[in-house]
Amino acid sequence: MNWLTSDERKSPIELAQAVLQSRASIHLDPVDIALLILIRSEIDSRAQGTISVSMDVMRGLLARIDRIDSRDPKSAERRLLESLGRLKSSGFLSIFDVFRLHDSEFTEYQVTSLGDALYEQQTLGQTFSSRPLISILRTFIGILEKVLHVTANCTSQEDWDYEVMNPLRHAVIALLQSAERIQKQMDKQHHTIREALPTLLKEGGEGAIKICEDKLRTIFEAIDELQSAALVSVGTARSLLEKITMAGMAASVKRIENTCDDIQIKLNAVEAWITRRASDWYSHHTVMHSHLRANLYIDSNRRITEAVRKALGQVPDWSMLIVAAPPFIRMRTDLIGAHLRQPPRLSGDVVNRERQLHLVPADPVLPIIRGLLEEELGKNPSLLSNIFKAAYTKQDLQYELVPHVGWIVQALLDAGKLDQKTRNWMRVSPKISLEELKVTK
Amino acid sequence: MSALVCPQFAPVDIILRRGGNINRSNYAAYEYLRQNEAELGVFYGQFGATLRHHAEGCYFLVGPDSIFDTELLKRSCLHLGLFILYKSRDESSTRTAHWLEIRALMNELESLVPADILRRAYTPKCRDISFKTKFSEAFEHAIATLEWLNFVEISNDTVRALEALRRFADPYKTQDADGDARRLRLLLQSGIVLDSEGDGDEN
Repeated sequence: MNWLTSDERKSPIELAQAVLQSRASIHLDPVDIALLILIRSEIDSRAQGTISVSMDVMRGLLARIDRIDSRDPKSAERRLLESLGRLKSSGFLSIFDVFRLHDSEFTEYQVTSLGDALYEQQTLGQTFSSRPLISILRTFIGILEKVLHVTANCTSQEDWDYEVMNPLRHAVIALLQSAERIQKQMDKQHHTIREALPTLLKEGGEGAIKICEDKLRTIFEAIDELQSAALVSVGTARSLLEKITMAGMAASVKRIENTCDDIQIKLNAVEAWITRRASDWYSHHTVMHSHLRANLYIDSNRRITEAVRKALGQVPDWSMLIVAAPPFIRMRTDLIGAHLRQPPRLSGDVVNRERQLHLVPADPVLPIIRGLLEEELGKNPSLLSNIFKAAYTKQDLQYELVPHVGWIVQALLDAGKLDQKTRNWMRVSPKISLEELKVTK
Repeated sequence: MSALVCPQFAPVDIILRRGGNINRSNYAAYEYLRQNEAELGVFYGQFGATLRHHAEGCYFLVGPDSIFDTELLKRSCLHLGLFILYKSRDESSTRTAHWLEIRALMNELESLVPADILRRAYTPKCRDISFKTKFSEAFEHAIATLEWLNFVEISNDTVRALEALRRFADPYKTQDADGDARRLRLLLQSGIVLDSEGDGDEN
C-alpha cells in the first residue's frame, strides 16, 4: 500500500499509474469498520496514554460485536484474523513494532492516520444531543423532591442523617458526577465535529453540505434545549435545595447547610458550563452558517473566489473612494474658503448714521483655556481629555469649553503627530464624554 | 426622537465620516442605522453623500460629489484586503472562527505572490535592496488602515475579516459587457473606481 503512504512527490498521473500497477484496492466488511471503531474508542478511553491494542483486547472487542451481530463464537478467532488482515492490507491498521515481537500472539496493533480518518468520519454521524444531560438533571430534581417530601417526617438528627443527608451526599453527588461525564463527552463530540466539518466541506461535494447543515441544525437544537430545559432544571433544583436548607435550619439540623452548599457549588458549575458552551457553540454555528452562505450559496461555483485568487497575482487595477472628512462638523465659513469678499456699498445716510456702541465683556474662559492648553502642550504626549479634566477639576468648567473644541483640537494637531490608534471614549466630567485625541511630539 | 440626538449618533457619525464601515457584527450601531436609515440618508444627503447599505451586511458613506474630503484607498490595502478575504473563504479557517495569524499571513503572502507584484503593490517607490524592511512596514500600515476603516478586526496578533471586506469582491461579481454602466454602478454603489491611476493618497 505504498501509494497511500509514500511521501515522495509524484504527479497525479504517476500516482494513478502506480496504483494501477500495484493492483491496489480497498475492501472492508462492515465487521471490519465496527472493529476499527471499537479499537480506536478503546485507545481513546485509556488513561495511560498507550496507543496500541493487543490480540487479547481485540478478541474481547470482537466478542462484543458478535453479541450484536449474533455470530458463531467458535469461528471468532478465524474471523478476527481475517478482519485484521483486511484492515492491515488496506492501511487502516499497522503492527506496533516497538517491542519487535514477531509472534502473532504478542503482536500489538495501532490505528493509522487512514484508520483515524475513517473513525472520524463514522463518529461524525453520532447524535449530538443535550438530552442525556437534561434527563440527568430531571432525575436529580426528582430525588430532591422526594428528599424535600421526606423532610416533613424527620423528627431527629438521625432521621435527617439517614433520610436526607445520605441521599444528598451520595446519590445526588453521583448524579452530578455523571453530568460532568456527559459534559466532557459533548465537548469532545463538538470538538470532533468542529475539526471534521472543514475537511468534509472541502472534499465532500453536495452531500457533504447537507451533512454539514444537519450537524449545524443538531447543534443549534442542542443549544436551544440546553438554554431552555437545562437552565430551568438547574433553577428548579436550586429552589428545592433552598427549601431543604430552610427546613433543616428550622429543625436545627447539623451540617445541612454545608451539604446543600456543596451541591449548590456543583450546580453552579453545571450552569456555568451550559452558559459558556451555549455561547461557544452559537458562535461556531454563526461562523459556519455565514461561511456556507458566503461560499456555497452566493458563490456556489467558486467563480468569485477564483477571480479573487487570480487578482492576487497582479497589482489591483481598481481602487476604492472613501470619505475622509474630519470628525467634527465643518462650519460654513470653512467651506466657503479663506478669500475675502468685498463689502456691499452702503448709502450715505447709513454711513453717516451715529454709531451705537455696545460693550461686550471679554470671554473669561478663553485665557483659562489658553493656559491649560499651553500647560498640556508642554507635555509629551498631549491629550485632549487632560485639558477638559483640568478645566473641570481646577475651574469647574464643563459646557463652557464646548464652543472652543475646534481650535483646541487644531492647536493640538499643529503641535505634533496625531496617534491614530488612540480614539477611546473618555469621561472627562460628570456630563461630558469625548473621543480621545493624542498627539506626540 | 430624532436619530441625530440618539446617543449612538456621535460614535457612528465619527466612523462613517472617516470612511469607516458599520458592520452587522457591531450589532448596536448596525441596528441603529437600520432603524434610522431614511432620516440619516437625508442628513448625509445634505453633504452630497449617500448612506449605502451593502447586501453583505454593512453601512458606509459614498460621496464622489460630496463636500466631504475623499481619498483613494492604497493598493497595498486593496491587495492585503483581497488576500485576507481569500484566506477567509478557505474552509479550514472556520476552525479558528476565521481568525488568521498576522505573522503567518505575511509569510504566506510573501511565499505565494511574486516579489515583483508585492513590490509594485506595497512599496512602489522602493528600491529592491530595501524591499524586505519596507514591505514589512507597508504590510503593517495596510493592516492598520484596514482596521481603522472597520474592514477587519485585530486581536492578539490575529486578524479577522469583517462583513465590509466583502465589498472588495464587488469588482469581480459582475462581468457586464456595458463597461460604462458597470463603472458607474460600482462607483455609486460601492465607491469603487475602476482602472484607477496611481496610488491613493493617505492623510
